[in-house]
Amino acid sequence: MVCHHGAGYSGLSFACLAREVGLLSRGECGVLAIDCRGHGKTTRISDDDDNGAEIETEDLAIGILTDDLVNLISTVYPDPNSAPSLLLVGHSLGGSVSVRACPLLQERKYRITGVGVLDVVEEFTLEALPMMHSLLDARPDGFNSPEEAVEWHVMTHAIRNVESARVSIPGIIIPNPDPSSGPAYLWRTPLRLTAPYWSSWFTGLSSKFLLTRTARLLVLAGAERLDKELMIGQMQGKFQLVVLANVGHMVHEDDPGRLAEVLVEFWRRNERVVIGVKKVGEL
Amino acid sequence: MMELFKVGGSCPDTNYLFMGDFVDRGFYSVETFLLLLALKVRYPERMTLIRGNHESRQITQVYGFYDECQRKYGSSNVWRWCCEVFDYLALGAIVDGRVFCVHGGLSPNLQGIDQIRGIDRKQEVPHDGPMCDLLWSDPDDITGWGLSPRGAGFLFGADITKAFAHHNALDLIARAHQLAMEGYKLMFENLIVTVWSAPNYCYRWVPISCIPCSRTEDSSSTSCGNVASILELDEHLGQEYKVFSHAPPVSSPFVSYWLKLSVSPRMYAQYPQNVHRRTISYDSPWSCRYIHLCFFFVPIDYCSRIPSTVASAHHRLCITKVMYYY
Repeated sequence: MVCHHGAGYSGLSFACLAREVGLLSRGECGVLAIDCRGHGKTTRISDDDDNGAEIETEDLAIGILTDDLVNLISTVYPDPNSAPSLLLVGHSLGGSVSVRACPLLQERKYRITGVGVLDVVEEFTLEALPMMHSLLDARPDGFNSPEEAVEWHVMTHAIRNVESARVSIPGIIIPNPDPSSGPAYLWRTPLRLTAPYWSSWFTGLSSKFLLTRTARLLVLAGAERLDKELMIGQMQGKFQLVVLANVGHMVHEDDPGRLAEVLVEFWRRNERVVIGVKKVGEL
Repeated sequence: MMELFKVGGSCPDTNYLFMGDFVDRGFYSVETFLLLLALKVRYPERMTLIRGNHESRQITQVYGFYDECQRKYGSSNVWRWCCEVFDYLALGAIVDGRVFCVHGGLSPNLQGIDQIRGIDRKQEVPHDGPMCDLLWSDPDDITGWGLSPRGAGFLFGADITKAFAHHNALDLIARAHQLAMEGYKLMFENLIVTVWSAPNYCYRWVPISCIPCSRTEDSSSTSCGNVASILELDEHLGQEYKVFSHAPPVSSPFVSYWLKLSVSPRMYAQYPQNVHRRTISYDSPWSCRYIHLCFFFVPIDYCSRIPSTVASAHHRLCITKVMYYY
């Protein structure tokens, strides 16, 4: 299971999910959760010591992020034939990356069991983008301690699962290089600077998702809310839809146990070979 | 659905076979299903209902029917009782021995229709197995069987369909389950048809905390823009597809609905005294369960829109039972 986090988060968002997946699959299904470009502990291999300049000029176009994922898989598993079959799971922006990476990986002969997209629907996300700025304005500039950061996320219901927040939040804050100028910890990824890329991240997501030649899973939080393209696709049986109750946008953090059940069942169903039954997307 | 009856003719003048998915994703699941039940009870030989994948406890808790029952009745009782009725619905039907009707499609575990008769259907729709497949599978342009992208059931190709039709001496397999933008879709040299009878499929997304109190332009809905159809079979099993669009919207259905529902059940007992009690005997517990639901839970404003032959019987039944309770 290759997990790609959403904008502003890190691979640690999937920590609790990874534990549950390991338990449920009895160790048969591993989890590879990455920190994508400009997030978590991923840094540029560069002679330049000036980390400040590096963050601001990070190119987070969807094509670059997709290539990053493909190149990462190619590096971790150089030989597609001996590589395990992969289940691409992406949350929000990560969903868009996973959907675009799938055909590229298949071209390179990697076996993709399925693509799981967590809580992102193209039309509604694009509609909500103008509100992102006010959302970001409502966030503090930083925190005085990791504990304070965890508390803020839990209090504002950004993450409803305290245990997961405790693990994942340290991945999204960094010590302030100039502590005298502000709070002790800053956001690892200044999301405001990524604004130029937002629209391109999600445009075309629904159609690309429906066109992937593998098993497709969409997990939504709270309500079954689909845009027209996905609704027609769902009514024609083109993908599996799971709606989880009592979770927020951070589905994988809020209820890792339930999501792990869904993902492991999805993986098992599409992974096993049944004589005489073609897999989804197989001609 | 009332538009559908206008297109096809009212029951019992026209015989109907509804192929499932009576509930979920709309604001009137309760009324739709209970009207069909009322028609079934009143004209059992003229109305046939078979089970769809949405006639299930699991699905209805996610896709709106459970929430609708909670909203309208303040408890989950009606939902629970409807689900018990769902368990009794047949999994398939045959018209004149030549047209096999099922909600979804075929199963790798079922070659003969007699095997379907042998399934113990009085249970919640399982996650897999032949009963699940009948309600979840789809025809597809593949050879043989394929795993369904839906997460349940299978895809089956022309070869499978032809073999099944030949083995069971069928001219046509009629099914539903998949949106057909033109209202119906024929496949495999007209051996199988998907019939879709919900025009301009409109997904109304309402979280449980939101009680609608006025009919404003519904921003929380997406619409497919499709037409619908019904398949009419004549006495020679000749096929005619009647295509129709959505009915014009009724103004303020919500306000009128909620006002009427807020009337206390006790007031019903003050209705005209010329109600005569009818003794109705039914010889199977299956029908009794239907009657119980029809009596108690069909919202009273619906009676004015039911064709008159049904309305009079239904209205009287409703009041009789309510008087008994209160």
